[in-house]
Amino acid sequence: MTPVLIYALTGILLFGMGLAGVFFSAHLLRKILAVNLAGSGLFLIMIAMARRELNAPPDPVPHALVLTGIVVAVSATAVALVLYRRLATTADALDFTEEPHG
Amino acid sequence: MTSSLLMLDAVLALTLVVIGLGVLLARDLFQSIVMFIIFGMLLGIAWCRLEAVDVALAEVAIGAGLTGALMLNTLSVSRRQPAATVALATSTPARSPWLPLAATVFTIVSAGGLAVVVIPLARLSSAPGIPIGESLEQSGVANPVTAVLLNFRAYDTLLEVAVLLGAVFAVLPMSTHARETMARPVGGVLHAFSRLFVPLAALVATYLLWIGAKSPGGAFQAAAILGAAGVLMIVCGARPPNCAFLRWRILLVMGSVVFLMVAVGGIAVGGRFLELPPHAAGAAVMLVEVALTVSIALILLVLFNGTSSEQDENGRTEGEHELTGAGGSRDGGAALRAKEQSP
Repeated sequence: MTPVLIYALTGILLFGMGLAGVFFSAHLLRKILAVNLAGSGLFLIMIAMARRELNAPPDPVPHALVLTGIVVAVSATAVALVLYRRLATTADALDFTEEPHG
Repeated sequence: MTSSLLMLDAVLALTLVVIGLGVLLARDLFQSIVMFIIFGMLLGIAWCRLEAVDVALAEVAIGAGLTGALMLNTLSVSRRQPAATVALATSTPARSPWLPLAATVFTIVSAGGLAVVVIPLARLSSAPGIPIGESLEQSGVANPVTAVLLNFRAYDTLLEVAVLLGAVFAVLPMSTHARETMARPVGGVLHAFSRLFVPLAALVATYLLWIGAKSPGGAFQAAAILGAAGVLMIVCGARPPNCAFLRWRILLVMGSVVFLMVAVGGIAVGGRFLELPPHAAGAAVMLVEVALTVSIALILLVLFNGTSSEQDENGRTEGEHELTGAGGSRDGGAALRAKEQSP
């Protein structure tokens, strides 16, 4: 068991959890959080892959890609949240109820 | 020594999974968001363990900090309108009973497929790929991550800034923010803290921007910290940037414009698009980074502002509203103020 493998497995698990969360969360805000969780899992896998050569500095290309990914993720989240807010304010008439806890 | 570090990794990984479950399963959405912020912080530590300090800085500032602020902001809005707390599950009539099964299968197949691909790769000790070590000298900077971001793979970064601008274009028309905000009443602790923090943040951001040429740091990390300082100022009642004014619009696009000009400049001196001549690369990268820092900080601020709420129909501002403190730092400040007044 190497650190790389530990973090790669964690990343896979987080990705799966996030994906399940997207499907099975009732509340849209929680779905947005779940997408971010799945994304973080993928980032973790990429950064772990960059660290495979233990005797050399890590590969900077995945680092730069993940850096880009984090920024793109936050912009996508912001757009999703604004859409959610618009939905929440315009859909008042519809009968939305509090998230059924599961 | 090594085994104790391995223990640390294992504990950290386990904590990440548990907190991740907490994000998904916490009873209350506020708890979920706080868990998500904690998750980002721990992920930052994991990335330090994997020697990705650049990424750790960005994750803690943007992934955890700013995303958390955006979420809390939105939650404080939807809390106030309980009828609109959205559960689409209840609104879609007559869903097929096969859908949950299909979703489960899809999740398992995706994660399983990822595992099948990644686990053999993780066991491979030498990373195949093009080592950038030899060409690093020609990039103009000594930090390999900055070299990749702004020289070797500058296309990615150029398009990334375009994506950020795209998000701003999507957020601006949908946010009800043309009006200027009234100063919100804020507690003394938050105010005093912001007076200390904002100048310090400006200093740290400048340092990160400068040091990014040779150590972890750079435009994105600096911009995230500047953006966070701006968020704090807005929370304390400062007037948010009003994008109806030309000066803010110029600042918003400045990063992309300078980046494009440098990219085209590469053609002008006889190279190709985005090709930086080695002798001028250092200065060009720094120029682009300074412009990017200003623009990205402002973009992040506009994104934050787009998800925050204005006066509601009754004309009251937020600070007067939620003294119970369910919705984030702004309400935390108000709650503190209430606490200060009570004895």
